[in-house]
Amino acid sequence: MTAGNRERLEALRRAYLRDLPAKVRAIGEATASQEPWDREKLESLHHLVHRLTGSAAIYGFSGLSRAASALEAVVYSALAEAASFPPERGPSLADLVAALKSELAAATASGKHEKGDP
Amino acid sequence: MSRKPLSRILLVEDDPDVQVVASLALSEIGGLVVEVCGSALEALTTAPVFQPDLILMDVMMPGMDGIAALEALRKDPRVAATPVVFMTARAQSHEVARYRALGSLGVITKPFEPESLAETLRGLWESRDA
Repeated sequence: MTAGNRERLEALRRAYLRDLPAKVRAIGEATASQEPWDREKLESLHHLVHRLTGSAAIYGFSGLSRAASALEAVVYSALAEAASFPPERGPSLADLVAALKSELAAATASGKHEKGDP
Repeated sequence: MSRKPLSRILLVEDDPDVQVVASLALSEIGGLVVEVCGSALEALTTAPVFQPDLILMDVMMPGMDGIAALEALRKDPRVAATPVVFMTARAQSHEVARYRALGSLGVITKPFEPESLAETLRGLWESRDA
């Protein structure tokens, strides 16, 4: 791969990192809803989380992708298998979102470090 | 026997973050001509016009998913024979077997490596009827 393409990929990664807090915030807001969970809301949440699972891994943020995948699995179970939502067993929704935020902080810190910040 | 080299790719992916890196991987790094569709429905109208050599398509998309799109493409004589490669994060063996049984040429697991995505597609392209 040429140096130019390597730099283009790195620029995409930096742009993605800049947008990550908004993606995680949107998921946090969706899960904080006090309204009953119907299929439409679950599909909307699954869409947000599924995208984050895939894109975070492609851009090299594997910890964030794994945290998103754990949340995605719970939402997918509710959609595909009519499992209860929020889940009655296993990690709570709040725990899953907290893990996502923790991985976001780690990703942001690593991104700053790569750019030369302390 | 020499085969036509892989040249034109229709990328079908709903996530703009994945679109942009896959597009870079295929065109700038891989030297392929790429057209991007953000939905399966868009792909159904674009594919017959763009006439790709190969369609690289996400499985899980809102609205029409990749499986339904493959079935629809197979009913259109203009693109019925165009190979389709799926991209998915859900690549357990029974799911991969199902995608192949439906007529896909192969499955690329997400996350893919941008550096090698085009070469992976070329390998699948060369493997047709091998």
